[in-house]
Amino acid sequence: MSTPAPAAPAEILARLERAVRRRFGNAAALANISVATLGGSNRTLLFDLVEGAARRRLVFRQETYRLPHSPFIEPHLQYQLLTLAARHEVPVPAPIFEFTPEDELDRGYVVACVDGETLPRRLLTDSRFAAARANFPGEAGAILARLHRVPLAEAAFLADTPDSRDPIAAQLERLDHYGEAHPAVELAVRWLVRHAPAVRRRCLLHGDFRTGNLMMDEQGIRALLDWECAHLGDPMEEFGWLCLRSWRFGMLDKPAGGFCAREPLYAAYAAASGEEVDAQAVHWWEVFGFVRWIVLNVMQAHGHWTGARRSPAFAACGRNTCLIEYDLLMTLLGRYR
Amino acid sequence: MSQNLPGLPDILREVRAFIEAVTPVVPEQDRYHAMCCSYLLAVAERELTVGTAAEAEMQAARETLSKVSGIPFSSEEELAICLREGKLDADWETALQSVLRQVIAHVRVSKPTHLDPIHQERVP
Repeated sequence: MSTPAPAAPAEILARLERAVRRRFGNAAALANISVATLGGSNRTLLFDLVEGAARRRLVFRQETYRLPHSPFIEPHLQYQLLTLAARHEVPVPAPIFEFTPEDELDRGYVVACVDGETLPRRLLTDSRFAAARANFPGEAGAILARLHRVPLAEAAFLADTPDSRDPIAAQLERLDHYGEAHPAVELAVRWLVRHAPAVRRRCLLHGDFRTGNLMMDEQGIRALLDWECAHLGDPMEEFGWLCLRSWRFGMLDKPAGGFCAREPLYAAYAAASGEEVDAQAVHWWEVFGFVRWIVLNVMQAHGHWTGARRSPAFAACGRNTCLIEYDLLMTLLGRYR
Repeated sequence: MSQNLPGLPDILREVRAFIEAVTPVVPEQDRYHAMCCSYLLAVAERELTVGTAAEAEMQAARETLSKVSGIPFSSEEELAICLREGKLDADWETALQSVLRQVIAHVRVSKPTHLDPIHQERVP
């Protein structure tokens, strides 16, 4: 089911201004507004909240389209997660407020803007980020350790999402809905079913912890962005996803997001959490990660060819699924690591 | 049906060359989509030139697997169902090689440079 067409930007801005004044007083104003994205399912605006002489740069994020069989959690849960993560000192954009019905902004929220860089190529190659790259394994290991220590009871609101209940079944259900046959996915799923490792424990997972979703500056990680895929699961899943070949952006000899080898990341995580990383389990989750990434691309292409949200980028996703399938099979064969 | 020249691959190549030429000067918010358009046109060009051979390769890979497993399937859909039902578990290695062969045929249309050198086609 899709949401109604979004209101015109001028109306959105008027509603946002009213929402801001409702919370920060009638003297509060918006300034320096820019459109970051009007993507397939979210509208993101940047603006300054002006209160007298004080200015804060904030981010407005509004859901514009609800995907059928969406793999993404709803904005309300995302906002809850940001609040939870911030409470446990996981670096996130500070939550400011969530829309309520009287705002007439449908579903979404406002968070603090975190300055920095997310573009993988720049982060992985620009000499400006050399120190950030050197700091990456220690920081990423410590942040993941902190996130995975969040008491499970506090994240119980995620327990009933499909990915928390049964990650493999969640992928297959989505693939079936999109109605396209992918023998490589089926083959990999058979392998996953027959080689499933024992789950050591369940914890809160970011679910999309990878290069591109990390806001970084010259010194290192400033914030984890994009919590739409968060769920409960095995902590090793997070490492499998981060080490996926797709997130190395050409730095193929640096499996940990293109930043470094696996070992220093695993060692940093073990030092911070007291929990060793199980490389064999990570390999299993990497195979699962390819399956999940393929299904996400099939989803984007499905949105395009069904006409729900057409774009050249989503069309390209459909033709890119075979590239991910190739990496998946080469990984299963042991040729890619 | 025969049409006047230029042919379809030529037309696609020309449109793609134009998009690539103007991409650096299109507004920043449209640049990524312009690059995707160019990419998609390159895919379409390859589908016209090597698509038939790729289809034949996929079919041949499925027939080989059919012969080894004794299970008839003529499409990706039928193969996918057999795999999900575990009917090819006993022929795992053959199934893996067959699916890889089919995926390589897809990649030769989508982005052949993505293939590892061991699977790149040798230019005669």
